[in-house]
Amino acid sequence: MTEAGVLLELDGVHAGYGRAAVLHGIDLTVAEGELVAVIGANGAGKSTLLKAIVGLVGVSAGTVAYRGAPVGAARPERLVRDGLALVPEGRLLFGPMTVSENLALGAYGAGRKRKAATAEALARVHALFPVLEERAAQPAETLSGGEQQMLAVGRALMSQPSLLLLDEPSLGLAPRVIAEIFAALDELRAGGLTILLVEQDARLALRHADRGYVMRTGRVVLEGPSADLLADESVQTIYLGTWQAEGDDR
Amino acid sequence: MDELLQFLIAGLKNGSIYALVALGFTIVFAATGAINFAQGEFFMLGGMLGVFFAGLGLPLPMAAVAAIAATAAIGAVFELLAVRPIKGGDPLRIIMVTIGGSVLLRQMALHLFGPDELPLDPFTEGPSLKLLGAAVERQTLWIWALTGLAVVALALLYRRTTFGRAMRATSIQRDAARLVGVNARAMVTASFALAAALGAVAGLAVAPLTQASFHVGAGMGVKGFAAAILGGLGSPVAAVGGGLLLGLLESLTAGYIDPLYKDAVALVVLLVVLFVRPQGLFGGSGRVKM
Ligand SMILES: Nc1ncnc2c1ncn2[C@@H]1O[C@H](COP(=O)(O)OP(=O)(O)O)[C@@H](O)[C@H]1O
Ligand SMILES: [Mg+2]
Repeated sequence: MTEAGVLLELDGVHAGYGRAAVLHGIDLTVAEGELVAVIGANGAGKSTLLKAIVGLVGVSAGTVAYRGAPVGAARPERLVRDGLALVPEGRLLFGPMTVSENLALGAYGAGRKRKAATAEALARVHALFPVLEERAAQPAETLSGGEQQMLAVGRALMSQPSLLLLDEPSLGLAPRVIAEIFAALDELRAGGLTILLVEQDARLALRHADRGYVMRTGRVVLEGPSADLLADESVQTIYLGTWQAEGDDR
Repeated sequence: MDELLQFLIAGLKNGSIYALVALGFTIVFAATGAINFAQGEFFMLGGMLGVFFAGLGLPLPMAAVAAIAATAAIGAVFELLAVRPIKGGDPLRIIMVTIGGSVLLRQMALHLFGPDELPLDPFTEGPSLKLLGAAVERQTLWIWALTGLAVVALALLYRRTTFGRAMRATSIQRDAARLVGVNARAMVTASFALAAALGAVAGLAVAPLTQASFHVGAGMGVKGFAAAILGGLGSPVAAVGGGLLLGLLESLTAGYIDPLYKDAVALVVLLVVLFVRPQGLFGGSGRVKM
C-alpha cells in the first residue's frame, strides 16, 4: 500500500461521549479502492469510530486524516462535500418523507461539481436498487427493513462519495436481503468506490473485505488481510465461534 | 342566523391571527423541541415596526415588507445570541431563555416606541362589505388573504424547495441531516426567522383594527400557544386548525355566553387539552411532521 494511495488514516484516535471515553488510541488506514472491515462485539466502539471519523463525536486526541489532510474539528456537513458519506447505524432515514425526497436530500451537501451530476447519481442508485425507483413516492417509513437499508445506502451514494462508511448494514435483515445489499457493495467496490464497513457479523464482513480490523473495548486488537483473520484461531473462537456452532450458512 | 354568521366571521378573523402565531410556535418546536415564549413579541414587533416604518413616510406595502423583514432579522439575531449558545440545545433551557428574551424585547419596544397605542391605517379604506347579510370589515379580508398567502407560501417552502426539505429533514432526524450536508444550526436560525416573520404578518394585519402597542405580545403569546397546543404542535396544518378553532370558540363564547369570558377561553382550552389530550386534536403520533 503506497502512502499516496491512503484515503483515510487514523492515528491514535481517542474519542467518546462527554467524559465517557470509548476509543483508546485507534490506528487505522484505508487505501483507495479498498474494502476494509471493522469487526467486534456489540459495544466495542465500532459505531463511535465511524462517528469520530465524520465528526459526529469529538476526537479528544490523535488525528483523523482524509486525503492526507487532518480533518481536525470538521463537522459532518463539511466532510460530505469532500466526498465522505456515512450510512449510519439504524439507517436514520427521514421517515415521513418520500423515498425520492430522501434521495434528493442525499445530494444536498455534495460539492458543486458533484451536484451537477445528481441525475446520473440517481440513475446509478436506481440501477443498483431498482425497488427504490418503484417506491419513489412512498414515505420512507413505510418501506420494509431491507428496502430501508437500501435507501440509506442510496441516500449516501447520492453525494457521490469517494469513501463510503457503513455501520452494520446487515443488522436485523433476512439472509436474502443481506446478500442483495452485499452484492451491491461488491458492485460499488468494483466500480472503484472505497468502503469502510463496520459489522458485527464478522464472517460476512471478512468474506467481502480485503482487510479487517478487530476491535475490543475501544482498541484494535488484531488486524490483517481478511483471509488471515478468517483463519486466525482467536478470531474463530471469539467472533466466528457461535456462527459455526449454529451451523448457519448464509 | 345573521348573529351567528357575525360571530363566525369575528371568530375566523381572530382565529387567522392565532393560526399565524401558532405556526410560529410549531416551526420553532419542530426545529428545537422547545416552546418559544418570545413568539408573541414577534407579533408585537410586526405591528410596532409597521407603524414605525409607515411613520418614516414609507408607503404602507413597503412599510409592511420592511416590518416583516426587520422582525425576521430580529428573530434570527435572537436565536444566534440567546439560543445557539445553549449547550446541547437543551429544550428546557431554550424555553427559559425565550421567556427572558420576551421580557427584553418588550422593554426594548417600550423604550424605542413609547407606551402609547399607535394607530396603523387600514390596508384599504372604505366601508364594511356585506356578506350574506353580515358586515365584514375590509381589514378582515386582508387578514384572511394574508393568512392564506402565508400558509401557502410556507407549504411551498416545505414541500417544493430544497431549503424547506432540509428544514424538515433536520427536524425529523438531525444527525442524518447533518450527514447529508445540512447545516442544522443554520436551520434552527432560519426557523426562528420564519416564525418571527409569521408573527409579524399577524401583528401587521391586525394593527389597523386593534392598534399597535408594546404590551400586546404576552397576551397573543398565550393565545397562539393555546392554538398550537390545541392543534397538537405536530404540523403546520394542525397549527392553522388550532388557531381557527380557538378563534371560533372565543367568538361563540363571547357572543352566546358573556364577552367577559372571551380571554379565558384560551386558558381553559390550554388546560383541558393538556389534561385530556396532550397530543392535541390533530396530533396522532406525538412526532413532528412538517
Ligand atoms: N450516545 C452515547 N452516549 C454515551 N455512551 C455511548 C453512546 N453511544 C455509545 N456509547 C457507549 O460507547 C461504547 C461503544 O458503543 P458503540 O460505539 O455503539 O459500539 P458498537 O458500535 O461497537 O456496538 C458502549 O459502551 C456504549 O455504551
Ligand atoms: Mg454499533
